[in-house]
Amino acid sequence: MTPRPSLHDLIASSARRAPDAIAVSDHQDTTDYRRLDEHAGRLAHFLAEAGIASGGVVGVRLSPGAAFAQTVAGVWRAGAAVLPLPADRPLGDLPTQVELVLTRDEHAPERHGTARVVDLTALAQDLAARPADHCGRPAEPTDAAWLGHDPATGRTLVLDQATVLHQIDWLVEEFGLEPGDRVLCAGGTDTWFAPLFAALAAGATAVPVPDPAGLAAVAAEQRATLLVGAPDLLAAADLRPGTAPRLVLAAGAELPADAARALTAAGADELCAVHLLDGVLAVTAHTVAPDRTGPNTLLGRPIDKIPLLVLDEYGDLVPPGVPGRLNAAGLGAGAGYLDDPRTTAERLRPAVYGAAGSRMHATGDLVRWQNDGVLELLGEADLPQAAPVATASGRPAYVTPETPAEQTVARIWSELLEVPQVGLEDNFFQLGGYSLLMTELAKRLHQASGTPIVLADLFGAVTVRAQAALLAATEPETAGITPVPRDRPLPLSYGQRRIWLLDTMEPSPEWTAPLFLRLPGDIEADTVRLVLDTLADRHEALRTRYTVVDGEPRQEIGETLPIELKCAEGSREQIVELFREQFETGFDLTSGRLWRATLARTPADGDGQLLLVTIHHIACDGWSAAILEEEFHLLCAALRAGVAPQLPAVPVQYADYAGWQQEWHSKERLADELDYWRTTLDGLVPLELPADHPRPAKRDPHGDVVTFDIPQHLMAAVTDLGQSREATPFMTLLTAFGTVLARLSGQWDVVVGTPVAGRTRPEVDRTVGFFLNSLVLRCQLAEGLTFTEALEKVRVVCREAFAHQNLSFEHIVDELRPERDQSRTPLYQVAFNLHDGQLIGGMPDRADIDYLHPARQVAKTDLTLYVRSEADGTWSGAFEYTDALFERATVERLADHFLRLLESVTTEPGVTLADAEIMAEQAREQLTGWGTGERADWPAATTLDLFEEQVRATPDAVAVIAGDTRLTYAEVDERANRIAHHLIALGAGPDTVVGLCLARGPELVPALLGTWKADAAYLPLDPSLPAERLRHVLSDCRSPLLVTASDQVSATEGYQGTRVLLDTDRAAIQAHPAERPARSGDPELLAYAIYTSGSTGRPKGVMVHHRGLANHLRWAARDLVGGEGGAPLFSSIAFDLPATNLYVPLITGRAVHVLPADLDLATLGDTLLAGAPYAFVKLTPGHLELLTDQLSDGQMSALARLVLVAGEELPARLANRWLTALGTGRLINEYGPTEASIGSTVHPVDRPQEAAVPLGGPLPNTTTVVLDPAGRPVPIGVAGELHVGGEGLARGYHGRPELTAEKFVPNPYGPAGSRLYRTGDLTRLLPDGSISFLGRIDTQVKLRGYRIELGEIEAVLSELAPVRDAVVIVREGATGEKALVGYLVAEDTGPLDLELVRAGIAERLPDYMVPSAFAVIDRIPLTANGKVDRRALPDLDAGDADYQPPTTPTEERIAQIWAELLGLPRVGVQDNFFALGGHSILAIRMTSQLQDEFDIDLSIGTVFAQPTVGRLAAAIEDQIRAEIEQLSDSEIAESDLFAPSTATAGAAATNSKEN
Amino acid sequence: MAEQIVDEQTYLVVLNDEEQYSIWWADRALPDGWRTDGTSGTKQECLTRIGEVWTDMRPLSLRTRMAATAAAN
Repeated sequence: MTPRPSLHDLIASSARRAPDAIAVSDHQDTTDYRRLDEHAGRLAHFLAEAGIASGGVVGVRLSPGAAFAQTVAGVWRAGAAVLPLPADRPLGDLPTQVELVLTRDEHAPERHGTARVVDLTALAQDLAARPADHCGRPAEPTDAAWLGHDPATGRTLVLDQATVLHQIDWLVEEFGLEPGDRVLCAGGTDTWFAPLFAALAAGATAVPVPDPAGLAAVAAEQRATLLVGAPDLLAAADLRPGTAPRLVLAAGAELPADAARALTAAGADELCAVHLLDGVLAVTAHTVAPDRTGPNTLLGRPIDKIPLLVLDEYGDLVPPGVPGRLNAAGLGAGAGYLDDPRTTAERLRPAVYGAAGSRMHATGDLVRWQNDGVLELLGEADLPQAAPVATASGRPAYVTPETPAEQTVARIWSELLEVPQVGLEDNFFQLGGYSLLMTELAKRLHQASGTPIVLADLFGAVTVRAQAALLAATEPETAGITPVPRDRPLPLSYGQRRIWLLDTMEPSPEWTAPLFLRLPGDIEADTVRLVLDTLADRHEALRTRYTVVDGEPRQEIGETLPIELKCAEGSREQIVELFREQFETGFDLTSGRLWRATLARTPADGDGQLLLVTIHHIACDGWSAAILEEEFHLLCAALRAGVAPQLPAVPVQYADYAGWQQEWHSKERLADELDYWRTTLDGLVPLELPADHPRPAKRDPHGDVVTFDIPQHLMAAVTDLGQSREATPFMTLLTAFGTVLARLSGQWDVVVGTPVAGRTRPEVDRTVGFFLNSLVLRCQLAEGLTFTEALEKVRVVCREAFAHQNLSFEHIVDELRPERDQSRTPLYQVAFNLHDGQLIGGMPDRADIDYLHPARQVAKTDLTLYVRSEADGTWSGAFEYTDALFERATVERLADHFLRLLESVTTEPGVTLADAEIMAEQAREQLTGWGTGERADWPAATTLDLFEEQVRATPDAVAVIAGDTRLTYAEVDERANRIAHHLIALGAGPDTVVGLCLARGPELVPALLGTWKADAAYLPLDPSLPAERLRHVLSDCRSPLLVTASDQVSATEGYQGTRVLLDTDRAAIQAHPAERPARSGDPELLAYAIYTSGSTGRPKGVMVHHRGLANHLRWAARDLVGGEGGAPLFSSIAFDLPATNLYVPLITGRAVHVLPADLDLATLGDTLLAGAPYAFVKLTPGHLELLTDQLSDGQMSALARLVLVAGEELPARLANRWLTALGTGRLINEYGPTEASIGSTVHPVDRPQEAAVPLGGPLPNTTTVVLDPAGRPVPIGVAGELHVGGEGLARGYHGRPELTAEKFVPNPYGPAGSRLYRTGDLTRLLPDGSISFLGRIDTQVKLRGYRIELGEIEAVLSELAPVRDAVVIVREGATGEKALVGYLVAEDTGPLDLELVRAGIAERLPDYMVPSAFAVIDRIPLTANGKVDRRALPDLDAGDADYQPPTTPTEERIAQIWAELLGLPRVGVQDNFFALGGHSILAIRMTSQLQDEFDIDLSIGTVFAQPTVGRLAAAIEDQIRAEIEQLSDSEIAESDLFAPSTATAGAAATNSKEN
Repeated sequence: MAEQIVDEQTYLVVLNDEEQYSIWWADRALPDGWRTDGTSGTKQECLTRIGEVWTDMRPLSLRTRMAATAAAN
């Protein structure tokens, strides 16, 4: 910085540069620098003569203007100090130091008190005669220069020469003042003086405006480039558009947003505000952002050379985010208060981090640092100390703490919670405490009382009285952490071990922790490097190497290695890219280089610099980052100030803690702690959230982040709700988060992990290293709990978990050995991380997210919810998610659900978890829209009516083609009429159910239509089904009539009603009239009854009415029919699927091709092709699969214009195959239960599918809704039961009112009185609104298009004599082929003859329901809640996993090593290391031994991936082979590969054998 | 083996204007167009009751029409 003049020649130097430039332009005149300078010189001579010397005080009572400026300059030139006195007020009591008052008042008395008063007007002649040159000598820097009287406090702050000069210099530098500037200074002379003189020092023009009313006019007239004034003046200024200066400087930090916006609107480019001590001394400055929101005033960054310290009540520095008092040191302290030794002593205190003997100004302002180095004001000085977090509503009456213990507790609370007076009955949480603070409380109580405090007890004792009682009752202290000798191998802590192990297996960016700092622009890279190296010197963890000694990882503390610091400059994108690279660069744990840094500048961030330090997690955690951040700033400040840094002592290092932890874990309490966790976590099931993509076999740590804001009112409501239940915001948010997870996953036993600082001992407060621990919070919610009940439950869960946090997570994982699963994180898959902002610093805030989120694409779990308080007092949230599982939009919806649920439960805390709303109105409307099919107002007509219309329209068109037989519409109609007359004669009428047991043939169609013409309904029976089943169905249906043929009679043997034999009774039928009989034709009458499999062992008859059937066929006729041809009928009409193929041609004037009953499926393709082309073909995926093999692409395309697939899930592969052959617009997937008349939804397959084809959306006059078990619509992506409503809904189940009432339920979302059918299908909505099939809710399955209730097969099996119990499952073979497998438990009477069972069941059930394999088991395995544990049933293929001895030498050696490590007598080839009891640490030892044994680099990852002896042996042999191939011949010759160990020789032998 | 999931909630027997029966959660508002016949109890109790009273599963309007037709003939 160029040397600046002293105040003595401040103006002289400007006058020398440009004497004619205008120095001051006031309302009267302009004054150039020459005149100003000369006047100052003359006045100085006068003052000297008047006896005013350096250090003297001159009162200047002039209004702002040129006279004032030149008079002050004159006083300064005389070396004296100025006490500005308002010209518009009479002289009051003057301080005794004032020797002379300069004024313009001809009536002024010559003396005022002890001071001489001089009228400058009268003095003019005298002055003119004096020389204008310099006189005297400059004052000392410590001499007074300005006495700022603050009318608000009545105090006068003395500023010395150096301070005033610095204030002026800083303004000139900071705001770039230069000669062309015109600086408008609004206000009186007792306001902030410095800008006026800064203008003069810079050679600019000062424009004093004493009268605020004229400000706007002057600003316009003077074309000011700068405007300075108090915020209220600026707010009132009302500048005209375009007249605002480039820069507006507010003399006070709080410029109202309105004013800021108005000034910006008037054209100001930049708005700045300074924070002034006592109204005169600027200590901070910041740029004002008009749009900023936040409860606290920003003070800004410290002004150069004014170190600002935020100190707690003990005078200790506090980290960012923590409130403290503002202290200004250096040139910001001031020189004391005039005539006020008491205030001076109180406010100017010894500086804690400054030069020896220097003072700092204790302003009393309550402030805190933001993470970016900006100060914010929380409370003004002298105001009551408001606690930042406490809201003390409903506090109990104050009771004075009396005993020493009570007083101790009260005092510590008071400190922690910043509440001045804590009473005996106060509640910790009510005063603003939270769970993380409990840890701190325990530590402080421990320190103060000497007795250790169990955290759990503290959670149970939340009043001062209760905690004081605890202090009295606790046992003596256990050993603390002390330094351990460094001359022996140092163990790793459990946390270090796990990170080391995982990192060794697979290095991943998730083990990189960030420290992100914003630094001023002028900090040199060398300084940064020096500071970082100093930090490594201080903290051993930053220079520790990790090595393996005797199969055990060890830490070795090394010397500090110079940090790798990169410097970069570029756009924000470039910097983000650099940061990303830095995050993704791994660390070599054996090298001792555990951190690296980049110092970056980007124009996007102004003059500052960004420092990203990445540290391996093994050396760092969030708390450590906060320590490093704080120490970094302290070291930097000290280096820049040129003083020795004073850092707090680090009593113990990380290795000491690791040693202590081992000690601690070896104690008996370990067993208790483990017991607690074992019990708590027993039976844990992984949380499976609805994902967009299948879970990869191996967890992918790549992730992304969705951020959101929690509105202030909502967070306040959350806090209030918690406080009313003695719960912390953490617990309340966790309960809400858990509820969302449960609602989305359907799993109510929600497990969420949460990080805790892990620093339960005070000794490690300043230690850097990985202390972070993870707590598993098993919320065990239930849908029937109210939110407040759930909160109570979660509160207890949290308390207990926090109380048992001493056991490390890693230890629990190793001990509990959860099923080893590389696809997910152990014990918990979802985490919650709340930063209250108080205890865990070092976290980037919202502004830094721009850099860190795009650079660090990591997901530590499937889903982690972060909630943090921002520097401006708002709360923000973020979901970090693994993008291998979730799409961004899905996580965004999750955030919406979370916020909506928070609204819901805070508004109505008594709502049950199942009932609480998680969907916004808009989302619900969207679901309703998707679930509502087209409204089609078909004219009322039955299928039969439509057929008869067609008969009239095209009587001679072919209606039925069956073999060689062709029947015209008229012929079919006539035959049907005669049959109808016959049936009526036999008693058929409305709603009579007529059995129909006919093989496919020409007579089938007239018979079906004939029943309808009799107003009756038909019951289709497939003659190929077992007689037992047909008999059952007929009797269940109480069919009085059965239409059949003589060759089918045997199928329905034993039928008691009247048979109509179409062949035998032909003559009788022919005798009836050809005209149609009269009928009611009521569309509510039954059209047919179709029996489907029933879970209780009885098939159930679905009663479908004409209205429902016609609705479906109308749609099909409209949307499916086109081009040439009709449709083929080739599957059993005992099911409703082929009804479309049968009836749609008959109502559209086309032919139905009735394929023969003895159709050989092996020739299905050719048979179908013979009748092609069809308008459409409806078939099952099974048929489609057959046709794929039987037809060429051309034939597939030639088959039909449209292919409609239904009856079963349509696999993607099959759909894609046909899509290729057909092209778009020709393949449709249809879904519909019989109970909803054939079809409910369709999904056109127009794009290649990645998963099974969705069910699609609702057909006309149909509604669909996916409901949770509580009957509420579920959000997109969430599994729920599909319910179908609308025209198609069947009447119910024949003769089964209970079952009908259970399955057909009131529809709260449709027309009054309407019903919904519960399909039992588990589905979810895709983001595009189509329904996707997930499986069955019950045990119903679909096999080859048949709907099968496994329960029915089980019931039938159990009825067989030698079977006591049975379970049937569907097993999927390796090729994807599904088959039924029956597991039988035998009666005690004796062994089961499976052949007898097979024969027995074949008599009772259709073929497709007969299991293809049986197994006899001792008992049926049950899950914890008493359901059949289907997964625990033995795999029929696996056989006995008995001992298989190792065969190759490699296997033998591995088995031997395992047996030794695991303490087992023998280990077999198929045995799994982890199943035998191996855990991660044993795996490391084993790997180490195998490496030595086989002389190869074996990764632990291989051991995890190949956990059996056989597979590991194969992997090792592969690796040996690969290494041999890498070697050159000579190397092989020289190497000892073939020589030494038997194992290697064995591997080579195996190798040659295989080849 | 049939699995019995015990449902301890209280239900109501409800019916609509077509005298189609079903059950509904006792602690929830009835959907429009449904009324209770006064029976409440476990799911099984309610279904048993329905088994006793819902002897004709034809919708009321159809029953009325069919009765009218029968009377006319």
